[in-house]
Amino acid sequence: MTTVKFGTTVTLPSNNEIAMSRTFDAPASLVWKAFTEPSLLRRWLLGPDGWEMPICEVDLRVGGKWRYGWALPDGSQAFEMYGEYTEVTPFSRLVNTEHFEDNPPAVTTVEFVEVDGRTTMTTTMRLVSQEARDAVLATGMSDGAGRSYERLGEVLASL
Amino acid sequence: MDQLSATFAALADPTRRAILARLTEGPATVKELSEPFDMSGPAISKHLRVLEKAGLITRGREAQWRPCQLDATPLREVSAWAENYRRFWDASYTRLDALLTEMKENEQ
Repeated sequence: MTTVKFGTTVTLPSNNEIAMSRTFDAPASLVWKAFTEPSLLRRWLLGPDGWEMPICEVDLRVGGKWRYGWALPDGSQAFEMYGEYTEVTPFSRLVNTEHFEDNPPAVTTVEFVEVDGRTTMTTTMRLVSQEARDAVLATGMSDGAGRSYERLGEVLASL
Repeated sequence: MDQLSATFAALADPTRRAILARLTEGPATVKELSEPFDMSGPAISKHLRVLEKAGLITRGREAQWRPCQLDATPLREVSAWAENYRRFWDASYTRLDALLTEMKENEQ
């Protein structure tokens, strides 16, 4: 069976939200499972090559806690995120708080929409304040300086 | 408001994004910018003031025409941020594609 790869789009729905959308060639039940079971999460939620996920705790119920931790195998870098689930609707919708480093918390909503056996997963991160969003932006921008002008059209098209 | 907040606030409005998209093709006057929209000149001028304050556009000095021109500097910061974010998730999602293919095969 061949693997179909769809593009990831990042949009800015409002001035304190960041949304990301991606379609997967699988039913919502499987995407949900891969997104909520630690043994499966550890196999894909790794970002760029080389990272491992030594911490992956999921207590999947309203009020339950989650914690993810990533590290490089040589121990030179590591970071953690954690939060609490506030809505758990299997195969459809997951809402949780998210704490990352010293940033004030964000609220993340993940929606799973299945059409013809394919599932579009949309993750919307709402920052609780302007200061929070700016802190998150500052975190993500560290190694991105000086990107070329050509990307501008791409970004505008995706907004 | 700091620079990035001003940029994001300016970008949150679809009319302003459309104006910026038009300006990637080259400078334009207020009249030219208002044509594609069902909006009055003053309404467009209000959007232009927000964009100017955010440093996203500069305006010519000729009093009558004052052509608007894109300044991409603040957008580059947003672009770099969005690109980093997208890259982390894109790499993860590519792995998830493969995992889901495997899960589907196991189910059959």
